[in-house]
Amino acid sequence: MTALKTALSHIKRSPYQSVLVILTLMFSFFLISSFAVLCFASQQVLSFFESKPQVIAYLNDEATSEQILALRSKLDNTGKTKEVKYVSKEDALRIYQEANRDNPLLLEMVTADILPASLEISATDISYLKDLADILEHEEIISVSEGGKKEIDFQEDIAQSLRQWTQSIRKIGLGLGGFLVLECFLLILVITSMKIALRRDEVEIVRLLGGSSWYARAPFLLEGMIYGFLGALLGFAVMYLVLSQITPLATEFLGGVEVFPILQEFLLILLGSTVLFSSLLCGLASFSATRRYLK
Amino acid sequence: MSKPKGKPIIKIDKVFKEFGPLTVLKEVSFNIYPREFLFLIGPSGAGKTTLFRLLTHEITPTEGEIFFDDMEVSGKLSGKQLCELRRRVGRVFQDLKLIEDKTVEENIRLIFDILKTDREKVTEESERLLGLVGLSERSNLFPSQLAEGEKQRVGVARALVGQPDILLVDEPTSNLDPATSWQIIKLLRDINSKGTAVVIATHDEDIVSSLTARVIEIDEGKLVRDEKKGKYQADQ
Repeated sequence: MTALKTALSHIKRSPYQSVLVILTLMFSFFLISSFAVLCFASQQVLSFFESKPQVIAYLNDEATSEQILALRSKLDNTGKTKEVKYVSKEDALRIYQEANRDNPLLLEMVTADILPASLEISATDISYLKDLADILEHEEIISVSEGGKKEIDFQEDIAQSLRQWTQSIRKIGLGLGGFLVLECFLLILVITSMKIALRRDEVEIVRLLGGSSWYARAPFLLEGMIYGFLGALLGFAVMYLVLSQITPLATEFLGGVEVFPILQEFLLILLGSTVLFSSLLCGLASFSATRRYLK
Repeated sequence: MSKPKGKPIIKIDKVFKEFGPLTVLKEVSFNIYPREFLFLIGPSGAGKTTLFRLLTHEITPTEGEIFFDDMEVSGKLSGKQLCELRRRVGRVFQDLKLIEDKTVEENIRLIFDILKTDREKVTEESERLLGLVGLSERSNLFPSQLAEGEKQRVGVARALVGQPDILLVDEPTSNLDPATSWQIIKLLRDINSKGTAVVIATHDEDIVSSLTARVIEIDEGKLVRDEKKGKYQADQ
């Protein structure tokens, strides 16, 4: 308790310095938590697209169920498919009706006969899509368009670009996060060193009069941890405010992709982990300073 | 005035201390006994403060041994031993080392905190110590608001918090007028009469010659005199 009281009095006695440290930490942890949310959101978007069939091959009307089963087995045997789903003409009609239920005119004009049956294929990895598409290209039961091309919808580009984006965001986030963590560590190290230098006499007196090394160090460690705690908490609070402001816009922009609002559980875990991490990081920085200057 | 009897509280045996090429203490040996009152005299730079620093393990001797009770102070000490030593050897520094942004009472309470004294006892003990040094009325003042003699008293009170076995007082009268100097010496005598050994480092010849006490003189790092009112102590 004494150490905590001393730490709080150190903070109160240098208010401008303390505010500067907390604001700097707040900005850093605002960026760190924002990137964490961005990574989470982009991963959610990617998962959404990956959960959708990545190749849809439309079958011609003459395809028999034996041929379709044979093609399914052939695809399954490659070991590259996560799921191969057969969508019959009736299923296709249902999907069509569902998608256009607000437009009765479109519904009247379409029957199951004019819709093709199809195979919806998801790959275990996006890099296999090309191989799977190649197999389908050589199958006779795949319908051919008027231009002579096989009717295969191939979503490799979308998923691939999303994956690249997600990876880029992660890399930038990790790079920036690492830089900010280092910056926070050095900031606390320098500030604690300055405070120790300012209170060198007091620390020396404590040691000379029988105070343990821990007794002299504890207030500086706690001070660093308080800065870390407040900085991360405020940084998260600002990020949360910004997030709540952009959520309606982002929801509208992403349409059917259910990413926003961000899961509350994720936000709680993020809050707990950033606050804990920041407190420990700043405590460690203070500890390094005290080790260096309180020998 | 007979030679003190019993086991010495501090035993200094053939101690040398060098700072680079400078030899500050040369083969210094003597014992300090419980309840003793002694003056450590010598000109500035003779090595008096260095000896105090050695006794509290602030520095270690280049050669020789120092024991406090059975603890070898000249060797390596664990953190726990160091804390114990510094609690049992009270020290009043020449520059006092009072914390300027703490009041008189806070300066004293700090040591109670270090010693983890019960909260209930702290107020009672602080008041007792402030009363002992005659500063009850000034407990809420900051060191900068006190006269030199009063600061010296705060230093003494602070050194007594842990009820040390021995009190090392470095030049307590150097910045004081004669009347205040005598008040401080009287205070230290009172403390000694209650059982605490007191060692005063000074070069104030008037005070030393006016009191009946053991006198140890160091000159150029060597022990040149150890006597009680002119009577040589044969315990070296």
